[in-house]
Amino acid sequence: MTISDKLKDHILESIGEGVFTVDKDFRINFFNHAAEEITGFKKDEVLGNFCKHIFKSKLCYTECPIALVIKSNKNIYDFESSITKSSEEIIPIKLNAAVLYNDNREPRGGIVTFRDISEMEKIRKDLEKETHFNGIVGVSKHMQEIFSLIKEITDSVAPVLISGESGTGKELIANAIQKTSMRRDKPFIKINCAVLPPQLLGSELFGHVKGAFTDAVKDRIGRFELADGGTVFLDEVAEMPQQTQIQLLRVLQEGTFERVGESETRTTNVRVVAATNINIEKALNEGKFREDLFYRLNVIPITVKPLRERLDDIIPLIHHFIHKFNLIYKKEIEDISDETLELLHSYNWPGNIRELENVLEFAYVRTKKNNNITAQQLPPVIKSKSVKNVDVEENISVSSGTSYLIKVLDKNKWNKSAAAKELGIGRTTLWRKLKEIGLE
Amino acid sequence: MSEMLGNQYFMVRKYFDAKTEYENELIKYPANKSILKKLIICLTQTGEVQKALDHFYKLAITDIEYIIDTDPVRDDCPCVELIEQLKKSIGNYKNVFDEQVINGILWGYCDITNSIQHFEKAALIDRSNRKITEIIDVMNQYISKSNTLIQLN
Repeated sequence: MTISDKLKDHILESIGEGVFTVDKDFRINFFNHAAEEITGFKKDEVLGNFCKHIFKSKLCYTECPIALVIKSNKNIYDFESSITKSSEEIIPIKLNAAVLYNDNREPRGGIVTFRDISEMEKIRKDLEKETHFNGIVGVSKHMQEIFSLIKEITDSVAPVLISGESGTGKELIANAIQKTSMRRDKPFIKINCAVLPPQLLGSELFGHVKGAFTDAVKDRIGRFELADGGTVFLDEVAEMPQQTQIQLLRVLQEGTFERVGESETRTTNVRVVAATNINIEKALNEGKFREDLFYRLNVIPITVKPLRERLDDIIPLIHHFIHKFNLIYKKEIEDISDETLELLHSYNWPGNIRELENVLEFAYVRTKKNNNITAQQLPPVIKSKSVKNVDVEENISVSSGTSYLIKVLDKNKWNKSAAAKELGIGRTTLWRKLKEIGLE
Repeated sequence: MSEMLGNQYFMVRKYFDAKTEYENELIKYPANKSILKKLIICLTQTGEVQKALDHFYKLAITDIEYIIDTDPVRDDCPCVELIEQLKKSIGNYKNVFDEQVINGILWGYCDITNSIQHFEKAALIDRSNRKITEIIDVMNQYISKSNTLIQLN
């Protein structure tokens, strides 16, 4: 069954995201109702006009999303950009882009869907202000050392290898490295080596030429070419197949590579930041990861400790996540009961910060407005797997929070109510903790 | 890669990139006037004046109105700004003939009378250039035809 053009228009009109299409000259020929709502422009004002004249985005001149799709032969999803509304206000958007082809597979137009992310951006910026280093929350000595190291390497373009258990925030560290580096204004391309089938990873990273394999209907540039002058983040690098490891080694050594199916040697200037959550030494011993590549990548090694080994970070993380959920869910939950805090401190956190966030979100959504999060709202696994020995619990929670407690109290000029509020704990809990460490 | 990619480069005034795309497309579609019209402008900016003149001649004798009927706003044509730039760089051209030809071409998209004047200056420098004299003839014929039509109306 085919859908009539009228019905297609009706579908596009009724969806919540802004949608517009352009012809081959980049003149707008469709603009849906949501696009009118987001931009403030009426259909009649935009139809027939060049998209660059309407949206006035700097992206039009540097990285037109539709042009990127034509060049890479791959649709774009969740691309962050900004547009100018009819009121001249510039708003951040996230967009998806695709190219419309004619029967001869020649580009004859493009379609862009977009949504206003002003509110999410505001939340992100609010939250980032409260983090301790470029979006990362951490007050423990270990995290402070990592922050210092990142600051020390801002002028370097040497490869970085970040290792740590899953959920410890390796990607956030990679983001911070890129954001503070000299290449912060250049492309930052991320790729998870474990997600793509091994036979496709090489093509994804280095590109391919038409006919290189069955589905290669057009030439396509790879991520290393797209990132030229910038940074590539290779997550789960130890999952990379041997053949691709050799190609990556060559890029690191010489900055050269070939597209799949092509003999022409190309060059690229890319800084590589890689991450792994597996024991890399074990992978080396088992021959799954090349030793020469390891040494090339491991120029600046960063090891992120699991959350259970840096318990000082738990209270600020809890505070950060509750604040985040307050912004998202529009509730005002400020406190967490003493018992809950003890349980969270004494749990082993095999899934690390990601697990802590999920646990807190689970408890948060079950908590009524203006109430405190209590142990009853925690998932059963936390209650059942927390360390039962009260002495151990007390010792951990007291020692882990001490430096942070003092920092927050200093910040609040030793106003205990204000400090308790910032810590996301009750005033009584704060008093008890101070007493335990001999400060009350 | 494609005409559409060429159009994007042209739109953001990346004339070298646009030229490459348009030239590749022109091999596939030699009669595509839309490509030819924009490629001519690109060639004036990449220093390939003779090539620009050859294509302009080809388009002028086929369909002079297609060149003349250009609106800087409606068609996002950069000729007005390019002529302004050219005025500022007068004297920078080693070759006066090239300068007159580029002016003749760019004015062709904006004002036919000015265009003829520049082509006539170029013809004075190279009297044997058959293409330039033919372009002038075609343009003059177009003007007299237009005048006749106005009188009839």
